[in-house]
Amino acid sequence: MPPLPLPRRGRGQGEEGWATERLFSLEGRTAFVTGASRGLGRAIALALAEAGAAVACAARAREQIASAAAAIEAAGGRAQAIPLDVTSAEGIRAAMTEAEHALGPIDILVNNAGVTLDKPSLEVTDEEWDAVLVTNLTSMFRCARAVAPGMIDRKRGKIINVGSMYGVLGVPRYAAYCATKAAVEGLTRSLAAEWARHGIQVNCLAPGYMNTDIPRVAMADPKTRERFLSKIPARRIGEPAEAAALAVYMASSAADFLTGQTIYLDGGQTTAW
Amino acid sequence: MELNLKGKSVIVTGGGSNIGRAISLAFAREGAHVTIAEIDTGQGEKTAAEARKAGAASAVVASTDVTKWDSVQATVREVEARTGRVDVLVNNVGWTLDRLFVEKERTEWEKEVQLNLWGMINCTRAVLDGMIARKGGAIVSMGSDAGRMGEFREAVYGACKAGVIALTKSLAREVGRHGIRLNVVCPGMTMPSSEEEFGGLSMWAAEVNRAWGTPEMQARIAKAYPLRRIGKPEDVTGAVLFLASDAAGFITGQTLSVSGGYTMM
Repeated sequence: MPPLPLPRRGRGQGEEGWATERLFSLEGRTAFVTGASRGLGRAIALALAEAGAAVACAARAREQIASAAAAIEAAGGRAQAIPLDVTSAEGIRAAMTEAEHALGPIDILVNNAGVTLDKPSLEVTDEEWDAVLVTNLTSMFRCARAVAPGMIDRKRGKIINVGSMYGVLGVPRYAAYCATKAAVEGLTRSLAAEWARHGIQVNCLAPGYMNTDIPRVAMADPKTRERFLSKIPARRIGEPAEAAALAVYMASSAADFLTGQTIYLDGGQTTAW
Repeated sequence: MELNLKGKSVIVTGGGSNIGRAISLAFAREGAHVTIAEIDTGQGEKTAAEARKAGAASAVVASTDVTKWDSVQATVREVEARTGRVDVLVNNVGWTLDRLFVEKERTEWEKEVQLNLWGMINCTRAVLDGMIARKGGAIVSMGSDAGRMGEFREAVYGACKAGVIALTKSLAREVGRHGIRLNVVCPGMTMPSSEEEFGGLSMWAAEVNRAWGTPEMQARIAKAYPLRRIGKPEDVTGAVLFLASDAAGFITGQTLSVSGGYTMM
């Protein structure tokens, strides 16, 4: 019986490389998080920093990104607040340059910025439709394209696109939002396939109902709350810290063989699909 | 990131060989109580010794035939008596022969169904009562990209793995309210790194499967993966640890391919 040949080890991963603290560590990495001013983006930025990454906290709201960066620094991490309107192609390029200048080459991009639009489709204006597409979809492509050349040079990179459970559920009044979130999954798979050979992994983190501003307000009403929860097998909504933990996993070398995947963080809500 | 797996009671079926071995050792490094549920107790003991060295709170081999309900029940009862509970079950046992559907013997199909599907059903059923009573638990089952895509020479195996995925989704709905999560990790082709890493009953010991090991075949398989290499047992341990941990507390019913981009869906 001929012996089985040994598969080659991945880069830098001897047996000791599989120790968990190193497996999930982001020590020495630099991350760029869009929409880092609040909600999931802020939670993700803080968690990446806690795992060891230097984090560029990008968003429009200057006070809030300054607050996120300050929270990271107060905990002993490195951070930079980067003002950014993701709808501006020029703004994206400038923000990336500013972040790399302050913190070093970007190893991890978290495309998190997004807007929702809750409106009957017949009433949605062309301008509203375009704004959702640019913010939720085009910006992700532009940010990815801005960081990819450096990642290709260094043969290493992680891109995490924040999708949504709404990317697979048909939700009334959310046509533009649902369309962009479904598109984010397609974008993820295409970029994953295209850049895999360069050592870049691209994955999609797709939350269900999370304990952030909008659901928190909706859930205050007991009837709405019951209606929400009855659809979630886990009988609760998710916490931003849980989205952050998934982002840390996706950003770490624990996920080096994971690419093109969408993980729904939804307490089981999409399992019917 | 704190996975908080220290002191957790974990059962890994087929935990002695190849992917199962890597998973057992990964939980060991986290300081968990690892029970290696193995039909090949000799191979299990080899891995258990490594697990103790790696830092397991304890590492014990439980002689288990996952296809036999009595054997599975006995193992779960023994673990509950010894560690007080089962926090995590990893349904890892898997087996296939590299042969076309029309060339396979019925006995080979039956063995595939027994090991890949009945084994998962038995073990999952056996741990659920305790998990429901304790209001919590995580089950991570090894699926396969063969269960998501149509694969040559893996018809019945693929059908079983699709069954593992469907059963996981259904159960995730049924038992979510008890705080129990079920998820699937789908490796692609995953080769052991040395002969030491699997026992004589492993699918890797089967003569027909040696064809996968020729350099030409390896090169062909690697080319099908966007990341351009064949999987190593350690590739999936990050996903398994994460899904088994409280860090993945809101993730259930999901199927995750950790296969270098081979399957994206």
